[in-house]
Order: sequence, then structure tokens, then C-alpha cells
Amino acid sequence: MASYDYDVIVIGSGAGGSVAASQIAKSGKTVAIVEAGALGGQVLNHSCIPTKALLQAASVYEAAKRGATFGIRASTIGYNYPSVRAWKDTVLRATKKSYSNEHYQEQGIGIIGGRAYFIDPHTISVGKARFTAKQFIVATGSELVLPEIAGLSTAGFVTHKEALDLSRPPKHLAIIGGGESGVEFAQLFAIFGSKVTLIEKSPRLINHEIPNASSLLAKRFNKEYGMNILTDTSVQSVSSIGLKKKLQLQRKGKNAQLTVDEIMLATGKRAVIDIGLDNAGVQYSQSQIHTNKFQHTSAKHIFAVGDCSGPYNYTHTAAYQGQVVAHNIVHPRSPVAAQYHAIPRVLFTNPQIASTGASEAQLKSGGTPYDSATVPLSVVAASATTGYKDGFITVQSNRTTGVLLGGTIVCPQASELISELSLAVQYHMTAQQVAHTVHPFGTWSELLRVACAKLAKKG
Amino acid sequence: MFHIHYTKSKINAPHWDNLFLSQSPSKRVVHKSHTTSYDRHELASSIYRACMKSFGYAGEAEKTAVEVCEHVERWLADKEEVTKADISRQAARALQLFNPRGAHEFAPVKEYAVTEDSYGFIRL
Repeated sequence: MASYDYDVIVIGSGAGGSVAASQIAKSGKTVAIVEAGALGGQVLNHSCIPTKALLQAASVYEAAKRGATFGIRASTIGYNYPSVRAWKDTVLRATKKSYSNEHYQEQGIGIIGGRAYFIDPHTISVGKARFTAKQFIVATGSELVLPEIAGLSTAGFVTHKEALDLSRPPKHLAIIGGGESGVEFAQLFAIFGSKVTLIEKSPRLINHEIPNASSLLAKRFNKEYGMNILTDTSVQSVSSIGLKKKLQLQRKGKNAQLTVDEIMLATGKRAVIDIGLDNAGVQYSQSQIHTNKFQHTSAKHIFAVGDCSGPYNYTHTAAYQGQVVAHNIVHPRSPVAAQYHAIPRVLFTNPQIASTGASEAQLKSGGTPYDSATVPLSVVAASATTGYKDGFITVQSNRTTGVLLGGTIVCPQASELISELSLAVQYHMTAQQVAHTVHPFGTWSELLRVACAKLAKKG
Repeated sequence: MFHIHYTKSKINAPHWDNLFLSQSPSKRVVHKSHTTSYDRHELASSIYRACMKSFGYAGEAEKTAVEVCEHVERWLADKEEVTKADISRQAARALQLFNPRGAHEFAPVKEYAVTEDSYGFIRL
């Protein structure tokens, strides 16, 4: 019987990799994590945590500016951007403790610093050393896709990593890409006073969400922050004029120019797959590593989790897949399959946009008979007490059984509310069951009850 | 009774030292159970031979070999150790871009065999 250095080697210490490594280590197997960058991966160091910390600071600043509506007056309301960044760094330091070297060593997990590359199905090369393992978990995450725009690299740009550490918000910022990352950063810099131009190739922003949510966000961005939103627009070339950058745009066959102080790329991500997968016998495409429902790759002893395997690029999906893989490695005779029918998707804008389960478009294309109900924010008391009216909730249920299939919430606390809807979808609850559950008066959660009651009446 | 012996004519690669001013990057290449150093000249020669086999011109073959080596070395930059098959795969991909006819003759990777090249030739 072949002997290996470790039972399991996890490549990548992000959400998926670290969850899997911790759970497998608890079962008594020898585990090591290989990490090329800082422990914790993208989410902790360059993505979710620092972005949300900055967005929190921005939302406090925005709330303070709107205080007059509620009779609150302050002589001066301002911000000090280095202090805002210091807040982000404090949050990062606190969170990083859970991902420190010592934390992993306490759990008996070995840490190998460096870039892993498969030499054969059971061997990886990291720097000058080689390590063998019986099983591997690939959790390499994703990286930014750089669009092919003439002159872009010469003129210079920032990605989400550098945007977090800018010394001050740029006067005029052009963000290329109107997906999740693009709209979150657009709002962040707009609140801190930047003039933001958001450039998106497709006809609407966040095109994975329902059209009503996209149009509401675009209108609000334009009205509240004076943001310039250019959909159906592609960037042809970029050049620099002194310290400024000039973009050549093309919109519906017409050419235009835009001069800005900084360009930020938010053009989507692709899986990190350049780790010698061919040598390990793992099948993959340009966008992701192919896995089955048990997260097995085409090589039986290699699993993949997180952004590198899809289908969603969310931290919570990666962590969930990590749990699935840990179970399947520890209990190979009773494997569990990953379920994706109630994965929540959240956008931390103002209003927040959160959705779960199947959208109306998916139900239509799948031929599922369904009913849908939409309710505006103004139907609940929380809308009156907070003075917030832009938003809605829409839920879908199976026309025959009444079982909830999915929904979208656009309101200030949507990121919190979506968990209740996800729970209902996950455990096949009916709209009537949710409608009959007592929700506290004066909270946004009443929205879900009202929408489900409307849906139950239809059924 | 007599036999006609065909001898394979050897294609001589030019002096690569003149084409590459810098030294080969120091990378380890695994082939079967052996580990050797990455050898730019070996790769360039095999690319050159493939281009010449596809009825290319010597100058074009040299230029392609240099471009392919540069492409492979850019890919190699952040890696310490790779396999010989990896280098062949990367070279074949680059060769597809720079010289599709040469890619067909590039022996190490048959999976990238060209069925119809950019000139419209159907390869069986």
C-alpha cells in the first residue's frame, strides 16, 4: 500500500478550503493546506470582508447625511478617508485571527506556503519541495478576467484589490463592469463623493437578478448619487492624458469619449485552474473544474470546491461545498450530494438586493407551473417608520402544491430577510405556512408574510 | 531482391544562441521519473523542426520557435516545477496561434491536431 505525506491536502485556504480542512482534521486524518497568498484567501483579504467594512462606513456616513429627515441636525458631517481605511484594517486584523497559522496548527492542520502544482495524480510540487497525499481538495478560487481593451495596461487601472487601498476616492471613477462587484464599489465611491460612471456591456446592470431589481437600482443610483450608468456600452480603447485617462466608448453603434481620473475593472472572474490539472487527470473547462454532485472531479480522489468549481461564486456556497466534501471524505460509504435549490444571493447596495431559489425566468424556461406575488415596501409599517419606499418583494410558488420555489427581496435589510425565505424554500414549505407564521410588527420581515399571504390567496 | 532504404533527412536547427540573448529560466521539468532543467534550446529545436516539416521557411520557423519559447516561459514564470507534458501542451497551444500548420506536425501533443487550418486545408 502506498504511503503518503498526508491523508488530505487542501489547495487554497479560502472559505471552502478552510472549512473542509477543519472538519477533516477533526476526524483524525492528517491534513495540510497549501496557500500561495495570505491565509484566508480572497474573501478575507481582498473581497467580502474589506468591502463590507468599507460599505458599512459608507452607510453610516450616508445615514448621518440624511439625518435632517428625522429631525437630526449636525453642524458638520464629513469623513476622513484614511480613518475609514483604518476601520477596514481593524476589521481585517480581527477577522484574520480566525485564519492565522496558529489557529490551523491548534487543529492539527499543516500549513504549506507556496503555489501548488500537480506533478502526478498524488503529488504536488510547492516551491522546491514535493508533497504527496491520498486525496486532494482543490479550492483555488477565482481571479479577475482582464478584458482585451487596447491601451488599458499602458494607461493603468485598479482592480477590487487596489480599490480597497486607494489613498482617497478618485474625483471621477469609471467602473468597467456592472455586475455585483461593480455596483457595490460604484455605490461605495459615490457615497464618498466620487463622480462614478458605470459601464456595462449588457442591456442592464446585475443581469443575473430580475429586471425589476436592476432597473430600480439603476434609477436609484442615478437619482441619489448622480451616477452615470452606461449600459449596452463597450470600451474600445483607453489612453492616458497627463494624470487623466480617456476611454473610447461605443454605444449602440455610436462612439463617445469619457475622461476620468481612475479606471476600475470589475469585469467578472474565472476559475484559477493553472495548477497542473492535466497531470492529475482532472477535466476542466476555461471557466471551471468539472465536478459531480458529490464534488468529485473526474479523478476520483480529487475534489473541488468554491469558485473554481461553481456553480455559484459566493463565500457561503464555497463553505457549504467544503462541508459536503469533508463529509464525503470522512464518510465515503454514505456520501451526500450538494443541493443548490435554496442558495441565497445577496448584493450589499442601498437598497440591498437578495434572492434565493429559482427566478421567474428559470421557472418559465423549465416549464414549471408557478404563481408569483409582488408586494411593494409601502405595505409594511417599517417603510413608514424608516421613510424608505424604493423596493419590493416578489415570491414564487408551485401552482399545484403551493410550495415556495424562490423569490427576490429589494429592501434595506434584504440580506437578513432572505435567510427566512431560503429556509422555507430549502425545506419545501408552502406560502400558506409562511403566511400563517406570526411576524413581529414594525419589522421588514412582515414583507415576506404579506407576500406569502397574497400568494396563498392565488393558490 | 533488394530493398530501398529511405533515410530520414535531418533538419538542423540554427544556432539558437544568436536568437536568445538571455539564459533559460531555471525551472525543473519532470519527465517520467526523471527531473531535468528546462532547456529552451531543446524546445526551440523541436518547434523549429515541426515548422520545417510543415514546409515552412527557415526564417519563419526560427521566428515561430522564439515566439513559442517566449510564450511558454511567460507561463512558466510563476512555477518552480512542471512536467514535460505541460511544456508540450503550452507549446502546442502557442504554436496553434503562431503557426497552425506547424502545430499539426508538433509530435508531442496529438490532441491538438488541426482538422482544418487557417488556410482552409483539411487535415485527415
